[in-house]
Amino acid sequence: MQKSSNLASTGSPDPNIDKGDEQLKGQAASGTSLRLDCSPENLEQGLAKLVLGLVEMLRQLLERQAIRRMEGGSLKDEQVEKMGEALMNLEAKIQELARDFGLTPADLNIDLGPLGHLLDK
Amino acid sequence: MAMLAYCVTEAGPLEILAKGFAGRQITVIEHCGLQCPVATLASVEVGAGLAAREEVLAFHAALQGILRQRALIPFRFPTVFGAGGEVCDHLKENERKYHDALARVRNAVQMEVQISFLSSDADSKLHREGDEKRSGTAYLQSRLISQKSLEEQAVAIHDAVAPLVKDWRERISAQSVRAFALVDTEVLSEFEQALAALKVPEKFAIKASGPWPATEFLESKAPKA
Amino acid sequence: MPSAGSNVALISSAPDDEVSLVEILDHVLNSGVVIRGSLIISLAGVDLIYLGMDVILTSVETAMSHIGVAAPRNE
Repeated sequence: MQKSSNLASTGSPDPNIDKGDEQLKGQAASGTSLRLDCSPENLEQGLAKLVLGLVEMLRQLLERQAIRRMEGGSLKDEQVEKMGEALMNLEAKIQELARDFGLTPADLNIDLGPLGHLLDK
Repeated sequence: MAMLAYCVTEAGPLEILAKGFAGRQITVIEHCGLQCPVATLASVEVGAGLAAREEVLAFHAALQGILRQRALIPFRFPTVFGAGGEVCDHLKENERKYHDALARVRNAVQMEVQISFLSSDADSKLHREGDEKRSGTAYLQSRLISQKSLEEQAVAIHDAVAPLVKDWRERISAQSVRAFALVDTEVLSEFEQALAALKVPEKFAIKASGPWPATEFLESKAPKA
Repeated sequence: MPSAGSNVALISSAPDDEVSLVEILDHVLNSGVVIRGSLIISLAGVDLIYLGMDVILTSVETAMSHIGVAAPRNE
């Protein structure tokens, strides 16, 4: 028996309580499976959430690598500058796009059930 | 029929003190020197129970009751087996892993300390000066400085509680450091007092919680990145 | 747990306030042994991504860092 959870964010006075309930609804009955699906009404926003969430996750991974390499001295000054600018601009762009779709930064932190959350909390 | 599995512990006397999920009686399946408390449920119950926070908290309460008696490795909620035989198979297949892990965390619990910056919300632009023309280098530098600041604070806290801690692991991210301390149950209250006595610079927000099952210490050492 | 200074929050695992409850829910739902864990991300009934996991005793993040998926941690 599997339950599906709606990817679209829900407006609520207390986002923490809602997230917990969303998680609970998303858990399946057998083993620990999770199926995330979008209902047709929220398709656009659901797709945006998924894509932007994944891009932000990759951006954070890249940023962490860049910081480590900068710290370790294995990047030239101009490389640091270019990477930093790209990461900074990408973050701003992602947040801008998210806003356009009515998503908050927290909305991008998709709950992947057994895998935990997509981004750092 | 469905069996909701709570955790795995080493064999030995065990009292089930708290009512667990959906108030269902908990029985203990034993196999290979391991025990697994389970609750038998009608499948429809699991579906209904999944909607209720209260039932998850009841599950948690039952686990805590067991944790007070011996170290345990919890199952991710909800982990449901088809029958007792499946539970035995699972224990048998993973006998070595469970024994090794439980031996490692015997008589100890996990306390967690999360260190982050005191800011109004998760997406606060703490590092931004609102200056869009900021250089890429400055951006990365400020991230590095924040990260180092958090790490230093984690080290300071570790130093403060070091004598009471058997093992210490950290998970570092841009916004926070999550530290996990393996604490012997005998010195747990001392550890809690040491936490309470912490003097921490105002710019940090510290969130300490526990005791939890020692899920971060089940392997011999933290993996290298 | 004993009370503490201004910026240190002590959350006991016995729920007595809303913050603790959220923390506990988070813990119970996100830690523990994963057996046959699977994740399917789909859009409008179209399966896009499938991830399957066998028995994982340790935290998933720890397991994922073993296979180089999770973000690098401290050196």
